[in-house]
Amino acid sequence: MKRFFLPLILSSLSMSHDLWVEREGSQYALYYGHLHPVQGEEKFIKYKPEDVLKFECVSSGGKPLQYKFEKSYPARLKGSCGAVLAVFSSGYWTKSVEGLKNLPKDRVQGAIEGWLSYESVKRIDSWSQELKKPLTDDLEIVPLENPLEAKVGDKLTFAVYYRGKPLKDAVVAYDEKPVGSTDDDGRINIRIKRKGLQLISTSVKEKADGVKADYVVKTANLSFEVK
Amino acid sequence: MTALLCCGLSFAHHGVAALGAASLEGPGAPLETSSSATLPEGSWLFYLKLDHVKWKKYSFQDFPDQKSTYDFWMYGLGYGVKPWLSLYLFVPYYVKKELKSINGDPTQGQYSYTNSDFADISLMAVLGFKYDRGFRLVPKKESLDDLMDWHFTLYGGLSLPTGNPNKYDRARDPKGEFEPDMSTGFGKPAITLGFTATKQLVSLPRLTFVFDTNYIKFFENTYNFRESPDAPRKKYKFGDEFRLNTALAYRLYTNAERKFRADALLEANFQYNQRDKEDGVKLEGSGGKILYGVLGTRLYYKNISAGLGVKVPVWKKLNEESQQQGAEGKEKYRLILTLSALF
Repeated sequence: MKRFFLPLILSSLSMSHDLWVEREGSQYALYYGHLHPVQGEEKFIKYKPEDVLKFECVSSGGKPLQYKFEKSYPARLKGSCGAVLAVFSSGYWTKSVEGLKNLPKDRVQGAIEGWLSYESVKRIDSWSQELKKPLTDDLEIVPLENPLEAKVGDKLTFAVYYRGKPLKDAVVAYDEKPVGSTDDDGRINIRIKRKGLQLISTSVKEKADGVKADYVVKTANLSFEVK
Repeated sequence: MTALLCCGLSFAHHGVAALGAASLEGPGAPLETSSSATLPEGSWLFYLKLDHVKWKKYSFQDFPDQKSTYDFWMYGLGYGVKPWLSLYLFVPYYVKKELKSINGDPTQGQYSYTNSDFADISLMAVLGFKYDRGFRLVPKKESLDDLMDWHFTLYGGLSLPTGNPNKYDRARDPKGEFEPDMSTGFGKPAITLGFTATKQLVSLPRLTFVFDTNYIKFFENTYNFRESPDAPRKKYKFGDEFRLNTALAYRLYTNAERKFRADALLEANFQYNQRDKEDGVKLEGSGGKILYGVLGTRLYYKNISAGLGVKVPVWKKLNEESQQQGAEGKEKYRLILTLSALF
């Protein structure tokens, strides 16, 4: 018994909201909020369209495909995709004596600490072995077996990559609940607990310039449907 | 005579405190039944256990000499060599009290004889493995979902005769009285082999099932004691012991902010003791079968774990029950306290 500590970052900052992609007919819609809201939480939190930095469509082999991106709320993507990728930033956040503000640290009086937030989500809709590898150089979670064939109760292995390399000791959450941290090969096992859209998340925290923010928080989500 | 030195050899490596979220939501650990938890690689476990035994007492006319209380203190140190291999050193300290009739005559009153000292130290190795899409050694990192897999251990231990088996009560007889069960050492090494299985239920993660079985082999020791100056030295062998333990640990309460957890524990511990042998002859008034029930709780706070429980015999079939005051199975109760810290 042992094995991992929970960095505070996971619960207090980056994982407080979910970023996910819903399939709506032939379109994909990007949502922010709480995928599984509990009492007092809103499911959807409206964001500014410009907060969406990227929304792309790729084949199951990871190759870029043609798509149409509508910069709106919610951001929409039309295309026949094996997987979709989105990057989102809610910008600078500063904790101050007057509470949390969505501003850079140098514009907040009585600032305690500040961070710049980036979140990404990858939704997989068709499987190929290529998806066992990361599609980007940024923080990314990959399934090491076909998650679309998984049933409730199955245990699947995932790997976390950052800058193209496996990331060890990364805390991983399933449905917002931390389930452990990655091993030396960046791997972690997670048991599927329910049907529907799955959301697996991890985050890293890096030092920033110290003026606008003390650190940068990057959160990556992996999403897929279990029938 | 009865085999009463049990607790020094039951290698209680269970009740490992845990770090991080695993301690708050991972498998529970009983008090007497060894769980399948191994120590994290490179970590140290400090362990303390008290097994306070209060013996049932009877008329001094029937039993002129009666065991009163035994306190089995156990100091332990564990180290995680690998995630799947833990090594332990246990240093027991025993306090054994007996009420004896003056001159063997209950009508003259009783006096108390106490023998207390460090007992035989013991070493133990625990090999941990699990079933996760096949059998494998326990890996360095496990998620909360991994911890719900079946986990197993094989363990083996050896006690070394560092305690003194040759201390005698000389109040009634200058040459002393031969009572191996009141000594704090066996005089010879003893060997333990055991197996555990642990499962935290996927459908009810608050509940953990634990199974543990072990066998303790004792060897004959030749004591300094002689019945008369020209008689041969006494030989005595404690009966081997076989245990079959099961336990349920139920997570009652967790407070993640305070890193606190409280579990309720329920155990059934079966024990079979062979007859002791004195000078190669099987001894009457020794051995038997006992089923103990244990009700307890374990509290976790950060890297510290504390356990408290009461153990009572709920069924017994002793070989000569009417002669076996002070034998296992004839306890009024056993109070168990444990404290462990992982660094």
